[in-house]
This record gives sequence, structure tokens and C-alpha cells, in this order.
Amino acid sequence: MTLKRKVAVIGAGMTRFHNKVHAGKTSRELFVEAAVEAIESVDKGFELKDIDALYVGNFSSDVFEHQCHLAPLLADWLGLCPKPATRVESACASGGAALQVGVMAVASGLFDVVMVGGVEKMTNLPTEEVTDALAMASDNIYEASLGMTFPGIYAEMASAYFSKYGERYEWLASIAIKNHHNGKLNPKAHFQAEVLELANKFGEKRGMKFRDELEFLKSPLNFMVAYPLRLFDCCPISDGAAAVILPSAEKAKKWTDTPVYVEGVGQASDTMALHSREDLTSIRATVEAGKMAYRMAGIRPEDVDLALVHDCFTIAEIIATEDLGFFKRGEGGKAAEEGITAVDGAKPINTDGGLKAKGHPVGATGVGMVYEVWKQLRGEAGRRQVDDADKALIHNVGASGGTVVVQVYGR
Amino acid sequence: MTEQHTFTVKDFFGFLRQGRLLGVKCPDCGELMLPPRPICKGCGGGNLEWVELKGRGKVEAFTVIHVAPSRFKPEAPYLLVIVKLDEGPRITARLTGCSPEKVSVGLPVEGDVESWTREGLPTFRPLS
Repeated sequence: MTLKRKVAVIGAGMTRFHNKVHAGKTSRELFVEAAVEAIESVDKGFELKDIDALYVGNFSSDVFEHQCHLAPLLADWLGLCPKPATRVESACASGGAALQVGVMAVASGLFDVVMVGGVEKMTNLPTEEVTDALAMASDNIYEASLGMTFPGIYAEMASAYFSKYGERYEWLASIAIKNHHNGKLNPKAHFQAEVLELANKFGEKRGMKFRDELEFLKSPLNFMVAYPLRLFDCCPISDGAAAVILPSAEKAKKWTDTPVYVEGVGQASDTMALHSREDLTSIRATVEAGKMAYRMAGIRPEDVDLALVHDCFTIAEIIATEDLGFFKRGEGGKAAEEGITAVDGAKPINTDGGLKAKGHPVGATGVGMVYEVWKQLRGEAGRRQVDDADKALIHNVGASGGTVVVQVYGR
Repeated sequence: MTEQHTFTVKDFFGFLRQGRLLGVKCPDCGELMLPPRPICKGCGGGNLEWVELKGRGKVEAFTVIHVAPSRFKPEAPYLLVIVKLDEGPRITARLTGCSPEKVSVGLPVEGDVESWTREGLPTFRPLS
């Protein structure tokens, strides 16, 4: 599989991901904010009229905002009508799936320039109703009907993983600690604080002080969500939007001398229900989508300079880094614990804070990963910059792996 | 078996209400599937038949749900497991008669048939 025409990224924008700062806004304002930043980020200037089509990743504006048919609404608010506008829904991989469609549209020659965006306004609903809405992305009849939740599904994977490779909570903890550390370096992250800072903020109200992260993470304050996953093993509920501008590589030169290129794309599916899978310690769709993207880009896992992987739960990052071939089976947690996946480590993972600290406005997440790729590959990532980053990978998972998108970018 | 050959969700739960756990088998390739589905996931064939499962197996994965969806809130914390049945297929189920501290991967379990007929949900308990 190849792309018939090379596709570039010439601009990217993202709102801050957060649960409070966007309280007075709806999806349309969030999306416009990200899209305008993307347009303004183009080096040599860019006009809205140059966009041929819009693809928007969004999981459930239906439930969150009582608004279906979101894409033309966003096109309208941005001033894009009558250009075609389409919403793409693939649960938490909605953004990644929208990117796939956008890349295909340009690579095929159908359009010369598309905007791909993602948006989710989640905080209108209380947490338990958000939990209900997210559970709709599992098998509603054979999982959700039993009271299964998303943390529950990943907790089941964690139990199988621990049973196979040994149980070490420090593995999970080191993912959360690292991603919070990276989030602190990202002005757009939901949490811009170390785990220990947040721990002592929580503890203060109860007259508790923690010596180190682990003391807090193992304490009742870090309450159990779905055993063995506690609060700090789960990404937060966030509002946010992201947008990127994708022209053909040939046209890109008109707008910038330093584009980022889409070098390989892969997407795969797997059974909705976790119980229908042979191996609960791996996500097959990640393996398949990864192979496809690596092959198309002509690279191997060791060539990836940094990766943004879908850490909706700490265990998910561990499994992802193994499925993508960065580490051997059973060694993803150890790699994080040893600092290999830190910004200054040998294989930086989730330099932007990941879903854990940067936040996870579901439909925006995949596109938000490309925002980080754009910053990193152009050397604009500030204090979280990975030295000489040439190849970056994004990994966006829908639900428990029913959909996975992997894309490789280069400069 | 002479039951209706539609292999629907409704059929599956109908049998469960009768205290029976039924999957489907493909006589052509031997694939055994639970829950039932209309096309064989092994060979793609549509020549399937119902097969009754013993309802015994082992816990392959588990969790204890503490933060529950709104309608399950009064029941939390509760145990959910993936059971690998002796015949091979797996299913997500509730686990009763077991404290959260006692559950582990590999725990032998059997169908909680009373609960199937009462609530119509796949439920298992530790093998007595």
C-alpha cells in the first residue's frame, strides 16, 4: 500500500485541553479557536478559501451537547460553507480516523488541501453520565449491559497482563509520573503539575503530606476506579479541539519551507468485545495498524524518534509501546520505570503529557497528537523538545482497540 | 437441535433465562462461538448450529468496578470477569459469591444458573 500523492502538514492549532477553562463554550467555539490557530500558524500566510474540505473527528456531540450533524455546523462557524464537511466517529480514535480520511482525500487527488479537526465538549455532563456515554463505545449488549466501564475493560487487560508478566504497580505509576512531568512542560495540557504537587494539594485539605509519589499513589486518596486501576491511572475528562491543514506535498511549498510530511498511515479493526480476543495483553489492531504504517514509511520501530501513544489508562501506554515494537513483551512498564520513555530518554513517549496529563477530549485527541508532532518536528516544542527529532509516530485507539490508527510523520 | 436458527442476541438471552448457556458451532470448520452470531468467524460460512455449553471455565481477566455507570451505582463495588469456558470461547460475566480479595486469574468458575434465570445476565461463581 502506498499513498498515490505525498501529503504534508503546513499548520496546526489546538485549544488548551481542560475541564474548566472552556466552561462557557460549545464545540463550535472550541473548534473555531483551534482552526484559527492552525490557519495563523502557516508560515507564509494561508487563506480559508484554500481549504477544499473539512473532516472532523467527534465521538458524541449527540450525547454531550444534543447536537448531531456537527461537521457542517463547524464549517458554517468557520466560514467554510459550501465546502464539503463530514464528521467521522470511531470512539476515542475519531480524530485519527478523520486524519485517515483527510490523508486519503488529498493523496487520491480528490482535493488539494483539507482541514482535519477534532473536537469534544464533555464537561456539560456530570462524570457518571460521561462514564455512561463512553461505555457506549464498548459492546453495549455483551459488556456495558453488565455494568462494564472503560476503566473496567482496561483493568481487565491489566489483570491479564499482571498475571502473565508479574504484578508491579510501579510500572503503572511510572507512566502517570512521567506524563504529568511532561504535561508540566506543555502550556496546553490539562494538568500542568507533577503527581507529587497534585498529591500534596489533595493531601492539604485532609492534613496529609506525602514524601513521594508512590506513597500517594498507593494511598486511599488515589481511590480505586476499577481494580487495579486507580484515579491516577485514568486520563481526565477534558474539553478541547485541535485542527491541522493538510495539502499535497507539492502544493505545501507555497505556504511553508518547513512542512511536516505524512510518511505512513495504518488503520485496523478488532472485535468490539474484549472477550472475543485471543490475547488480552496486546491490542491486535495496534500491531496491524503499526505494521502498515511502518511499511509505508519504510522505517522500523527503532527509527521512531518520539511517539504519541494512546494512554487513556496507564496500562494502555505499556501495552502500546510493546505492540508498536518499541519494547519486548512484558517490558513496557520497566522501560518507563527506567526513564527510557522520558523526554530525554532513548525513546520519548508522550512528550506532550499524553492523554493522562494533556487531557482527552475524545474526538480531538488524535488530531492533538499531530499538533505535538508538528511542534516537535519543527523544533518548536520548547522545554519538552526532543533533540533532532526526524520521525514521529501517533497511535490513536478507539475504545478497547476496536479501531486503531497509527501514522508516521517525518520532516 | 430444533431451536430457531436465527442466532440473535434475543435467542441468546432467551436461553439464558431458561438456565442454559448456548453458543453456536460451525460444522464445516469446527469453530465454536459465544455469544452467537449469524456468520462463522472461522470460515465465513452460514451453516451454523446451536451448541449447549457446560458453563464451566476459568477466570482469564477480572476487575472490581468501584466507579460504576449511573444505573449500576447502588451495586458498586462489583466483580466483572472474562471467563474462558472449558469448551474454548470466552464471555464477559459478573462474578458472584466471591469477595474481591479472592478473585484471581485462573480461578475455576461455574455458571450461577439461578442468577441466569432471575436476571438474564451471564453470571458465574467460584466452582464449588
